[in-house]
Amino acid sequence: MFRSGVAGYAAVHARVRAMYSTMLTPEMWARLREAEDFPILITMLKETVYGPYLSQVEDKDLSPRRAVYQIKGRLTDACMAAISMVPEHARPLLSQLYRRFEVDNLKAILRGIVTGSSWDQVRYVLFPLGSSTVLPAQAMVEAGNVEAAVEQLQGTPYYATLSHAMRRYTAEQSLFPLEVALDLDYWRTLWSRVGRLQGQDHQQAVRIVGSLIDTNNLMWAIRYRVYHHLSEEEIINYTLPFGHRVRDADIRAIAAGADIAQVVTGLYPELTGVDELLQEPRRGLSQLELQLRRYVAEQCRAAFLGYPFHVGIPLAYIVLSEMEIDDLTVLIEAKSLQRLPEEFVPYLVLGGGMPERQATD
Amino acid sequence: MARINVPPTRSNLLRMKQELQFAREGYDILDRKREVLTTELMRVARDAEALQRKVWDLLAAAYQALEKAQMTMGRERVEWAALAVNKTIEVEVTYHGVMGVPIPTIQAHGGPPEMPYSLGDTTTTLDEASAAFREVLNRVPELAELMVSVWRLAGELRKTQRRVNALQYIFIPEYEETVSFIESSLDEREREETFRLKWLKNKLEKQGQSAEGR
Repeated sequence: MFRSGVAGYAAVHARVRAMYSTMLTPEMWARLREAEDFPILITMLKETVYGPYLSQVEDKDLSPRRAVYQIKGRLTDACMAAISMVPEHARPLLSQLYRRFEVDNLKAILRGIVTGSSWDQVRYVLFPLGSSTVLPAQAMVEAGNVEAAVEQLQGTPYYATLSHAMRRYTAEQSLFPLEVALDLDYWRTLWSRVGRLQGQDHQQAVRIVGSLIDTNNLMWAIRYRVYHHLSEEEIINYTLPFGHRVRDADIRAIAAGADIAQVVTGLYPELTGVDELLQEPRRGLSQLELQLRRYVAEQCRAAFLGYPFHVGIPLAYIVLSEMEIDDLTVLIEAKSLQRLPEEFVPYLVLGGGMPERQATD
Repeated sequence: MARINVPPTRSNLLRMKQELQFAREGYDILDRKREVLTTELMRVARDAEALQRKVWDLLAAAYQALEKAQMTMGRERVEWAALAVNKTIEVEVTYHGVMGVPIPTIQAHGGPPEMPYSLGDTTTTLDEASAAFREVLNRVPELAELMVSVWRLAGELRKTQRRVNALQYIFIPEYEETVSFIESSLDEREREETFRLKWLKNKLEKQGQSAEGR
């Protein structure tokens, strides 16, 4: 019997709200954006919830690369905390959401093997998942070849997917078939976990996970067509046939060469200036991607409004935490490259100065 | 003006004249080679300059795109996505000659895979950078071919110019000077010989007259 509704989520709601309140405020973002350089940015970040993670490394060793690695530790903690506190029936969904970092790690390991990298070279590019990962990362890297590394994954959720895709890898000697198989399997599994939920949980998960899938799927189809010039059939094969707003027909339309601006405007009438953005698709796509991510952020913030006892709250918190870390990555890189605010602010999703907390007001 | 240190003899005069003729012919040939090389160099250099400017522009755009990708994804994720590209273009170099200068023809085969990385952990900014660098990569063999041609033609032109200058300003004037010196020396010797013979003839005539008088 599920413990959902008020009984299941009262404590979760209170604790996630408390964690949500530790996210960076608009005032803090404004200060961080104005930081003169990278060391000052790090000093400021040490005064926030990211302080303990950054303080684990001595200042002299805190390069931009290392700083990004360290702050990701907070996302791990946020995910683990959220997963541990949700009711049993919602846990598989959050665990699968968190698994995306493991999928990215798996791809990094495979790339490391192909390029003959050592374990020491690979370990610091992996997302710090701690003991929660099922990947025998070091053993895989030390296996020395992709086939042997995949064999090490027996008993994990990735083995069946990868061993199925190995035939194409062997024929093409390209990691792309393996990577795309992992991505598609990840999102299919996540969507199936959403499908198992009921009531408010299902509605909220569909809205948040659905908007994430929509954003990815739509951008994949567009990127495959505009940048990688894949055929209609390939685009359909490498995208997902489901979503919340974005349906299979929309993806097929893009794959078949339909006007991208028209498809996007039809799907997201609330997005402004799409026609102008996509007049020169290669210039406007990164801005469209950001607009879609901001839309996902709005969906997450909306979860904190109204009836609060559902999986949407921890789910939204994890997604927003990841976006916050992505924005901090932009800030860290921009400050280390000595970029002016007008050069990096357009790439911020949460920290760009827009009213990010309006959903909780 | 310097001249070659040879005895002023008729045989040396003949040899010097032959060598002067040879130097003048060499000069004509090298001068024509210089003209051909200059024309070819100007043509190739113009093409190379135009292509180099284009490649610099493409590279600037590519690095700008890469910086944007690094900024939005983090340098680590960009580097690791780039590691998925384990193939690049292969080049085949053949040579053809222009006035004896081996000029390369570079033919590129293959290239990075169309889909080097999956899109799951990357953003559009990386696609932009990847596309920009692919465009640069496609132009690099042609630029390399033109740049090597320019360097080789310029090197050969410099050598030819040095030889032409050496012939024009050193060897030919030296031979001319030497020929002129030998000719004037031989003329002088001839005049001396004529004078000596006349003097001898006069002396013999005078001796003959005094013998008759006795």
